[in-house]
Amino acid sequence: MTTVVKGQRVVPFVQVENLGKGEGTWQDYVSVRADLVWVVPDSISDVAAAQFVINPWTVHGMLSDLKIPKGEYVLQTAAGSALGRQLIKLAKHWGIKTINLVRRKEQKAELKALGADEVISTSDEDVVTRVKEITGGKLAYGALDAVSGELTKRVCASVRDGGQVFIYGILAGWEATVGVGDLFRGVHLTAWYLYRELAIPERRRVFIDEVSKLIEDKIIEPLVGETYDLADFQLAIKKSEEVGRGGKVFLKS
Amino acid sequence: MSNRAVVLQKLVPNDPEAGLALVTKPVPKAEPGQVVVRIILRALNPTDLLSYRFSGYAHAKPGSFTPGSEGVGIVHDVRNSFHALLASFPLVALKFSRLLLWSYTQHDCCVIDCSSYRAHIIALFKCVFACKLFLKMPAGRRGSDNSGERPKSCAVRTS
Repeated sequence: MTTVVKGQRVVPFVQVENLGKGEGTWQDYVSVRADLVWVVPDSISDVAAAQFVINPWTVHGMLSDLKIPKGEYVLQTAAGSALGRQLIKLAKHWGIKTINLVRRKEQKAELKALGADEVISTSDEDVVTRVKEITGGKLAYGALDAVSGELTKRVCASVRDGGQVFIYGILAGWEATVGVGDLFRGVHLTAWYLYRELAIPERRRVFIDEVSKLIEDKIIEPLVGETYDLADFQLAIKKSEEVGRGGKVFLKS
Repeated sequence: MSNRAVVLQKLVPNDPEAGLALVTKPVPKAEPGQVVVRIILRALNPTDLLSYRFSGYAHAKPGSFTPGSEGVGIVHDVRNSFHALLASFPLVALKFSRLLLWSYTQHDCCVIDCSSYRAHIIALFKCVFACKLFLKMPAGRRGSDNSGERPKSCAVRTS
């Protein structure tokens, strides 16, 4: 039984119960079940705590579920996102190499500086050919796709026989294309859904322990963008969708 | 003290943001087993926007839906549940019995499933039995006899 006292700084896990009742965090007060709050240690800042769950848990969960051996490649799309950047750093920490797909060429140098092994610009490079070159024909061990749409087909074609591809985002829409030939090669294409994983108390415990350690060790670093007052939520939403905005947008009370 | 909340008031298919408005709601009271948190900072995620833009989210009902999938806050109010206190009774009863019957307890370890009624009933009997034995003991032996092994550990399962 978690015991919390007034005045403690906590992260409420609203994803488990509250959101389903329509009680999300875009309000001043939320009432949460006592075992669904986590007391934040002093070593973790407000900005890191405010983005403790959605990105870091997804990164940690997906990368561990892919079970990639050290030295093998993971391929990811939308690599320039806050989540994509965290994935690059965590993969490096775990000894996994990354092939990163981006839309804009300008992001290449930035991601390389962060520790990305390879960056492919989807607008002017052929993804599958480049992945073959990089891996010496072995292809990527597994892949993470935040985009869906037509890109999923190229992602699946860049993964080894029997490899796993997780879709976790729909930046290009609610449909994805897949080459049946890749399915015949045994490529598994499934969705990875955080809300399903964090509903499991044991998994939540692992995420809390491991991710807080990764934040303290500065492996996972918060990406800080602009902060708006809750009343200015419309401006914040617009900002959060700007291309190349740099960092997470916050709503404060 | 008021609770400002972004609420989805209506679904506007071509301009989903137009359906959102800032309203004032009462501050929730802490129900038993609940913690009321005053949120100080929230990060915006694409999933937040999906929650009111995509009609597939069955729970996003106009009029009663507030988006927001994460954030950090300060505990504003807590009410421990009576159930939580009650649930720990078998453990308390076991410790109480052992304290009374220091040298008579022989198990090193036991697991109590606090969630079952059976555990509560057994614990109640144990307490009564321990009290009876204690009263029958010669005064000199009460609590002071260390010839028996002290129970080492006890695991409790609450759910």
